[in-house]
Amino acid sequence: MILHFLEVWLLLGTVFAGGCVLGTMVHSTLGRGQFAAAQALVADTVGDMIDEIKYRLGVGPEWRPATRSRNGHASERDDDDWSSAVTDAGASLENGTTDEGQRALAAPDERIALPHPDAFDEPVPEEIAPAPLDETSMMRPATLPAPRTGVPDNLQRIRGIGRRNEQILHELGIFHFGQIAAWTPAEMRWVAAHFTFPERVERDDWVGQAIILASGGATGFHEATERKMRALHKDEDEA
Amino acid sequence: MSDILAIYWPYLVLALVVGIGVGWWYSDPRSADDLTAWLERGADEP
Repeated sequence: MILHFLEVWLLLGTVFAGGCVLGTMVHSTLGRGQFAAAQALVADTVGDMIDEIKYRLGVGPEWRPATRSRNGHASERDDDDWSSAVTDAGASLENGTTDEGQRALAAPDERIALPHPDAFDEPVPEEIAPAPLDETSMMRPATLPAPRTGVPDNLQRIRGIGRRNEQILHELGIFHFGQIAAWTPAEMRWVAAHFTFPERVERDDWVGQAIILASGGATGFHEATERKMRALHKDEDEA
Repeated sequence: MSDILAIYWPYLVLALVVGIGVGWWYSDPRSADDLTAWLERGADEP
């Protein structure tokens, strides 16, 4: 009986190990061929599904907006969420169903006087009109030849930045949270183009995390990393 | 051996599929590059 039990589990383990090897081969084969884009799409979809489940369970990260965009573009549903939220807020204000709305209706003279729409019709002179930006425009952000005071920030405290991504950022001249926090969308796209999965810069909200970390705040990911590091140091001390 | 295969083949197939998934995921740059980002729970920890 025991022998039978061992035999079954040994067989299961062997099949599992063989599956791991097969999965690795399938991944490397697909990643080199014409199915690479489809494979990345599947991986993104799985990640989005996990995010969706976590979002519905209410365990989503606080610092990340409730968007699960793919390839760096906001999804249609997210746009709808925003537009409906704005519409609801406007309707509440109009009907006086919120405190702000009631105050505004009670004291209309205190409302802020906006310029007449015709005031914006005058064309802006070409010499001061900014060039139109499309979604693919990129701009190199401000970079540093070396970290200030010689010590870079630990960029791995940002979720989505691992050891290799941190190395790429250093090669680009980005060493501090403040630099990332100051990225514009065009600068973010320029940096993202240097990574294997550029959509993660926006999806993981590196800028939002960097703003928190640069101002001395802490994200849950930072805390998780710190706990892990403390446990690691504790193990080393005990050894 | 043939008896085991005949009885437990669904579990073997399941182990094979899970193994393929694990191997595929392990090879993905997301797990290799940013293991911390994809496998740690991160900010959603209580």
